[in-house]
Amino acid sequence: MSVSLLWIIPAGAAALTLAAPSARAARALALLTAAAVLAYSLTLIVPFRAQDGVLRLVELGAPGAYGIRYSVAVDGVSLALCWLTAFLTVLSLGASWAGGHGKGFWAAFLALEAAIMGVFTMQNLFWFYFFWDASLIPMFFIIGLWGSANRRKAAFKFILYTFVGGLALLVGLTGLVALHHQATGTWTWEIAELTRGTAGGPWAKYVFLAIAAGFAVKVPVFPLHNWLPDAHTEAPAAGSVMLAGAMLKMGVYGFLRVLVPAFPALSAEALPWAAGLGVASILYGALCAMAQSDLKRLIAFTSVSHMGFCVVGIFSLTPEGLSGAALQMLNHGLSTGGLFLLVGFLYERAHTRGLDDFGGLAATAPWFTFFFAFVMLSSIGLPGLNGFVGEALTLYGLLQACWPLALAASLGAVLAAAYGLPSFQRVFWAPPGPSSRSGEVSDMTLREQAILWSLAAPILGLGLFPKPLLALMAPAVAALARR
Amino acid sequence: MTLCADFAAARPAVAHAAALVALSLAALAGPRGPGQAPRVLAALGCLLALQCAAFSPDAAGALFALDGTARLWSGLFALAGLLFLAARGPLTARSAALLAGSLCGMSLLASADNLFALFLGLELMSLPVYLLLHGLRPDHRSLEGALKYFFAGALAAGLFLFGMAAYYTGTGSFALGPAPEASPAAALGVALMAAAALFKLGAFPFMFWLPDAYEAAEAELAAFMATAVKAAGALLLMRVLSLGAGRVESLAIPALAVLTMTFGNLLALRQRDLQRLLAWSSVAHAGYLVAAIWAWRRLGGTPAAAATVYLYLALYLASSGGAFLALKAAGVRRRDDLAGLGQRAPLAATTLVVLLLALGGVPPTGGFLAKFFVLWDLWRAGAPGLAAAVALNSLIGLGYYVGLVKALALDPAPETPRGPGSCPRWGLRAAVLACAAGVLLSGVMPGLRDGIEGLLR
Repeated sequence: MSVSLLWIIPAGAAALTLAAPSARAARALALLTAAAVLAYSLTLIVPFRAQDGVLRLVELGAPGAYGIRYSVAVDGVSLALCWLTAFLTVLSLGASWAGGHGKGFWAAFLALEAAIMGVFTMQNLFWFYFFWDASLIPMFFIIGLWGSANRRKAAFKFILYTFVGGLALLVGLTGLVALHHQATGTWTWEIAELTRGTAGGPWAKYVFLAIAAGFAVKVPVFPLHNWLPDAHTEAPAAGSVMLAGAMLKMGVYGFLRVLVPAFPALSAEALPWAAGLGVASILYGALCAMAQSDLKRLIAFTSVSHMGFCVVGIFSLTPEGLSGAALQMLNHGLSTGGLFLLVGFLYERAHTRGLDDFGGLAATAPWFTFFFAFVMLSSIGLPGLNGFVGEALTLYGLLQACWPLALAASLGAVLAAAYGLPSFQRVFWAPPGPSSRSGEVSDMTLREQAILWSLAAPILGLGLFPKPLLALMAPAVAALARR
Repeated sequence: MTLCADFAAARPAVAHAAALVALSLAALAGPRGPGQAPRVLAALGCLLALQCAAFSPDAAGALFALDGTARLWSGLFALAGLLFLAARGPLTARSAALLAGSLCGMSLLASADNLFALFLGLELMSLPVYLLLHGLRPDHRSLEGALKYFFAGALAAGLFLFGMAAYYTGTGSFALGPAPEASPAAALGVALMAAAALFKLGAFPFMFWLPDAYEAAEAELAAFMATAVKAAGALLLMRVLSLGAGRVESLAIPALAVLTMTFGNLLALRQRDLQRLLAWSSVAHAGYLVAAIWAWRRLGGTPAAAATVYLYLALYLASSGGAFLALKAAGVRRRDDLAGLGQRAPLAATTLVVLLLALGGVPPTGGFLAKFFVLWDLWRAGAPGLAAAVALNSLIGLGYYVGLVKALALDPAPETPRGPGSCPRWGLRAAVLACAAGVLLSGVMPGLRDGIEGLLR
């Protein structure tokens, strides 16, 4: 059982897809590959269970100059994120099945899956960064080629913004390696070595800031979120799913895997600032979401808000906050992914995303209504569904660390209801307005229902029984909280 | 005896020289028009040179020495020659002879162990290129470009000769390697010779000839100039600086590196003609190269640091040369012609995207590795400021590389397709594909640098 296959299979299949004889063959190959990767990633739990320690299923390449070596492994958090990535890839490809896309579309999604898997499994910072930046290229094409009207501008903005973030990250990571060399006299890029708390000195602060900025762009943390609304809005539905569901997680994962363990003391010191920005993201995202009249843009801003919970959970540095943040990553991937898929299905029918361009859908499209309500309630944190557990845990963690901020953050949960419920009401229950396109919306097909059912199952499952997943991630989280 | 030893040490150059002699005879006696035979003959010379570079034992004579560095560079030059020959269709015997002569000069430069030999190689390399520039595409613009290039080259040659004389006055030696004694005359000599190398490299402020020459040249020749000639310039700079330049090196070189990369990048941002844009981008890359060479000096000229420079050069050779050729293969000359290329010619567009991303230093291409190691060596050499300059310039560079990617992949096709139309020559396409595959595959092989280091030891 090799973790490397998680990125090698989709990367190889991406090349094959481009060489496929027809777009239909490429489509079949892509979906089969994605399904195979998902099945394979799920079977990894067996050898994972059989081993001990935080990092398991370790694979090491030959050591190279300056401590750059190929090394992969997973812990509970990264394994869960690999599952999420594989799962969302299958769903997005399934949702785009009837879109009539060319070969490049399918290849881009497989390449994206490969890059994200690489980020979640690499244990050497060089390779981590390599996949981190490589993931931007397929996403650039996904937005720019298959997005909606303003796609070109959004793609350009996306890539320049995230390249700048990537550069800050590269500078920071190099600085971290240099600090480690200063303290120990050895060059290494191994995350396990760099996170022994050796980095110190007057430069540590700046290195910390550079790395934090690099990750924060990706999360995104207010005020670095500017690229996100456009990218999400213009991307095709499947692209938004991967962007929100899997790519944003890379930033949070970076906090968890690199920044906090490498700088435990500085992270504790940064608590008021970092958690403050997290709370700002929660509130700002929610307030912006309330003001949107475009469904996709609304969901994009709710992403900013929900990812804010992850940030406050991490920087609370308590076991509850950290495991809440880890869980919230998965929850957000599932529920926001579901919302983007639903809006995508609506858009395919009515060619509009305006909140006021619908109305009265509850009468004509009951499946849409059911699934939208279900996923939206999970997203705003209804107890019994997955969103609640993650948010509650992060808030509890923050409460122990800094209660005024926790109080402010909990406002976010109220605001979530304030943007979620009225928008649902406008689309599904309100009488159709003069510009309504509700008449063009036929109810969901069986394929679309199957996709949403497969999402609803983990949403409900994680809401009622979060324990097994929390237990899976516990060793990794405990290793962080102990510092 | 020394003559024999010198012949043995300059084997790759001898292979090209053999091709040169045969081709010159053919030019005098054979048919005048373009044909396949000269092309094959020149290619045979390249293959023979490659074989010599790979398998000859180490040797040293009075003027030349064949060591790891010489082998590596002779091999790279031969590959660049092959790329030119593959991409260029039928060739006249005269043009093929000129190319073989230029390659012969480059190989001499690579194995030179003495300032005289270095000068010999430099001149033999340069003269044929001036002629080729006009000869391959005889029009007014190429004449202008060739003349500018010629005068700049003549100036560089003059500087180099003056430098040699001054250096000899100061040290009484023409040998390469650290100067036996430091003196003002020797320092002046090194500075003048370094200026000549910067001319060839196209570094600020000696790059005024470059955009005109590159723009007017045939794409294949522009690729050759941007890669092989530039690489030879870098080698020349390394050889000259290893004489030891004192203050000049510590102050002027980093300043010139920053100016070169910034100037090149800023001017590339505004270009409409793509060959001219790539010309300015090659100026920017010359800046990165000068910075890398400076780091190599600061780190004591170790094989490890040299490997970084060579990796950068090798990958730059593939990506820049490939990009010039890819533009020709896709049949676009101006930026506006790029729109809709992704739909018109998906394969050409894909390769061009890979090559542009490699030039920009974006993973998963090898360009990222190359740039990463340069940054890393600058950092280790204790020059965070220079590293920051390289990093920021890469960002400016991304502005136009990604801009081109956006134009060719995302922008909608114009109503009526413009441009000269794509070039269906299979050799050209194979050359482009080889370059693109090379930069893509090298991206996942950071061990490549260690491999080069092993060759040099």
